Amino acid sequence: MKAKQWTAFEEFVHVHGDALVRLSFALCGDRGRAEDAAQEALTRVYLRWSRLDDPLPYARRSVVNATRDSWRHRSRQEQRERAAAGQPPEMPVRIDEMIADRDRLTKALAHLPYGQRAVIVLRFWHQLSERETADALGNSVGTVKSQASRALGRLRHELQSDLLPVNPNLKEYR
Amino acid sequence: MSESRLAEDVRAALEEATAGLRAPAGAAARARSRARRRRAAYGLLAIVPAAGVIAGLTVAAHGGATAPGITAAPPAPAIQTDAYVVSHIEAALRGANDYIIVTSTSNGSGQVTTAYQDPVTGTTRSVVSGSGHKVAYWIKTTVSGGADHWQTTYVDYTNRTWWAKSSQSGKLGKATSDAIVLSAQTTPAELSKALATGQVRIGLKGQVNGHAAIELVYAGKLSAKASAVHYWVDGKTFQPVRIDLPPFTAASTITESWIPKSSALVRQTNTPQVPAGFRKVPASPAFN
Repeated sequence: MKAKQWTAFEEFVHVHGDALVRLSFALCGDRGRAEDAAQEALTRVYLRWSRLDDPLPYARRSVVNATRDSWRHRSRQEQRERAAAGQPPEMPVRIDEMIADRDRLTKALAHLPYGQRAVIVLRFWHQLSERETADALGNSVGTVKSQASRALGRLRHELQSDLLPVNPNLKEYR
Repeated sequence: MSESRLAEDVRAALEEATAGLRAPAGAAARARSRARRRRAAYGLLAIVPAAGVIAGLTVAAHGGATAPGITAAPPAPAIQTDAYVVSHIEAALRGANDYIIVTSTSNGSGQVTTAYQDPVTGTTRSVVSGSGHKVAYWIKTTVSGGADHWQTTYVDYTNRTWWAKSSQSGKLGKATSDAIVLSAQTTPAELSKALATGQVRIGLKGQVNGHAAIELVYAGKLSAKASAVHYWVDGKTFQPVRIDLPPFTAASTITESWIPKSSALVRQTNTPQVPAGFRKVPASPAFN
């Protein structure tokens, strides 16, 4: 990587680094693993830098994959350790139990399967189009549509008794 | 609940949940370092079967075709004059109305206070959490009849209670000085005025959370206070990022970030919300 490219890469990390950590955190709910996943994604971006016309979509996809890899790796490792210790397999980790004090909506998000959560985060928080979301996840547009629909349905179901605003003019939550 | 409303709420919840997160310091350099090691390892794996260990080591040691220019040193940072920096900070401050200003501080025993301020309406939503306790309160401040008027809504999530009240300050006296005090309450307009009138000047250049940052210090008559406050703006966005107040402990450090406004975030900041089932109690006399 030449000096000019290094400057551009540094600029990219400066501008988008925080957002990549936040994206990973939204997917896994663990600060340490979010930082690790974002760091791994940045390493992958660095390795491909000279071949990327627009590095941000690739960085997003790398974060989504690195975060998912981190979950799978941790889960397998824990299962092996428990098997070696003669203990029964642990129930799947509920992210909402690790996040002790957060809004109900964030908890409801954490109940979603990883793929649905990723669709919600990318579509409605990062405001990507269906095509961009599909590219980031390596899925088809149809899969993104169906996952978004299912995820919104589940969220709506979990939020049936939602917040009641003090302002009586706001009736949308009633 | 409509889909768009739910989507907006998701956005606001995620913005809040991730507001204080930052990329680790030195993330770019670490990515480069890891990439170098990985390339060296891959280079060895690819070359060893074909050309033998010695050739592989030679290629890895010199970078080789698979690792072009990885030894390039980062260039020296561009030189920026104080006038350039001041003009960019003023430009950033002029855009403050497009953001929600988020400040966060910890009391050193695990309790964190995060405040979301809308510079347009002057309303602040504060969330205090940690140590098994969580409260949120909204304060809308208006000035009329020569006094500050406060509307406060206070929600205690631990006790599942809430209260609301209106209060006001005594008659505000005429300001005896135009001096701007740098603090967590300094508004973008005040900071801009302090820069324009020369009360504040550019100080040290350093790093905050691994990012280039510029310190603002008192100038002129106020310079005697220069050691009292360290006010940092980001070296690229020129938005405030950190304020260190005496006695300069973790509890007196305020981190600041600006989040672009979305309709959900504006509503969440300005409209008090009480969860269903919470009990209304008398307002605390200690508040305001």
